[in-house]
Amino acid sequence: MSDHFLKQGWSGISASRPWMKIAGLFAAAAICGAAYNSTSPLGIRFSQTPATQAPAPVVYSNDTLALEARPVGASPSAVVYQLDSVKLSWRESKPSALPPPVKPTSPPPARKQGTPITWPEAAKLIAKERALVVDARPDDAFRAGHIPGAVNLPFIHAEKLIAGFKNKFPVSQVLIIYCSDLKCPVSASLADLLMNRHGYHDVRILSGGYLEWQTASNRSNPAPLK
Amino acid sequence: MKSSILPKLLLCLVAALLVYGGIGKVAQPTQFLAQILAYKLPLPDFFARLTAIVLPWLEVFTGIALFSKSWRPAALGWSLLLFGIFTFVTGQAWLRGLEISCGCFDLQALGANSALSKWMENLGVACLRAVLLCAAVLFIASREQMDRSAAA
Repeated sequence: MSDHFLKQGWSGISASRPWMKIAGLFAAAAICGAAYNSTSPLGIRFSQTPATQAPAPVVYSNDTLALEARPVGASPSAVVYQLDSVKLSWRESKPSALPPPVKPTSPPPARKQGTPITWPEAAKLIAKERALVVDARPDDAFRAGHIPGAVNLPFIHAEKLIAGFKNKFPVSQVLIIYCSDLKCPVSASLADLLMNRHGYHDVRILSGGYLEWQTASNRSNPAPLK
Repeated sequence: MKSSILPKLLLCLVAALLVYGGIGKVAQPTQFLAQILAYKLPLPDFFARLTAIVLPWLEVFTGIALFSKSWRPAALGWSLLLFGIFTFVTGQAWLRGLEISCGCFDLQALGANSALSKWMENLGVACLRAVLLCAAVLFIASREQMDRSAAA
């Protein structure tokens, strides 16, 4: 019975040689999609910042921090963003060939971390202490919508943009960093970078990210473009 | 007579879901791209962007084409493929225990935190819904074929 049902169903689909129309539907969708996205300010561009996966493992030592972010699907070595000039390399060798492990003389200094806050707390900070809202998402996500007054500092380009950012905003500035939502780790990584490498004292992390702000503000549409 | 009502109702339901789902994604393409990336599929960046650009429009056109008798077979083919992909994508995310919303519809009108929105966006529910829609498409297609055979 089910076999008959499946066969009937498939023959119904493939009746009257619809292949040209199948291709036609796809072509119409591709043309409209390309036209809409290339003309709309909210559209997706192929030339923009690559969409990234969560940052790969962070490697710490006493004075070194390395972070990696890469385009989805790229091999781990395809794009590596290093935050200092230390080059990481490795080679295969037998355990006996390795030098004896060095015992640390003192524990590594504790790293500062951004303080997680909620949107109502963030709103108070913005009003009272003129805290600066920093959007850590890629620029195309920022263009699509962001918290009003936020400045975009995409984590993936942070090292390139940080000098300009520091010129505009002193290290005493209170910062509130957000990314897309609760599961997005980029804001914590950016907070780590700003506090431990660039000396910002007071960095907060909006835990629920843009989604929390949208929910709290009951926004159905993105914020107006600047 | 009665037997022809169910396929028509199902056809309208499938078409309406495709058009509604497609329009929500067309309106916010970058948000849809973010949702595709949240599934953490091993897709190249180019393919994820291409999907975010083409798929919403394909859903809309497929939904509209279902109402045209001459375009219906092609639209049924696309519907089956789309729902098959949705089943696979939501099913694998559900099995992997990803804590994401399915991103199937723009549910702002229902309220982002309403119980209905959460239920609609649940991965397990979305997977089951896609399976049922696959079955509905096959049922509609089989009835189309039977009607065509009877007419010939």
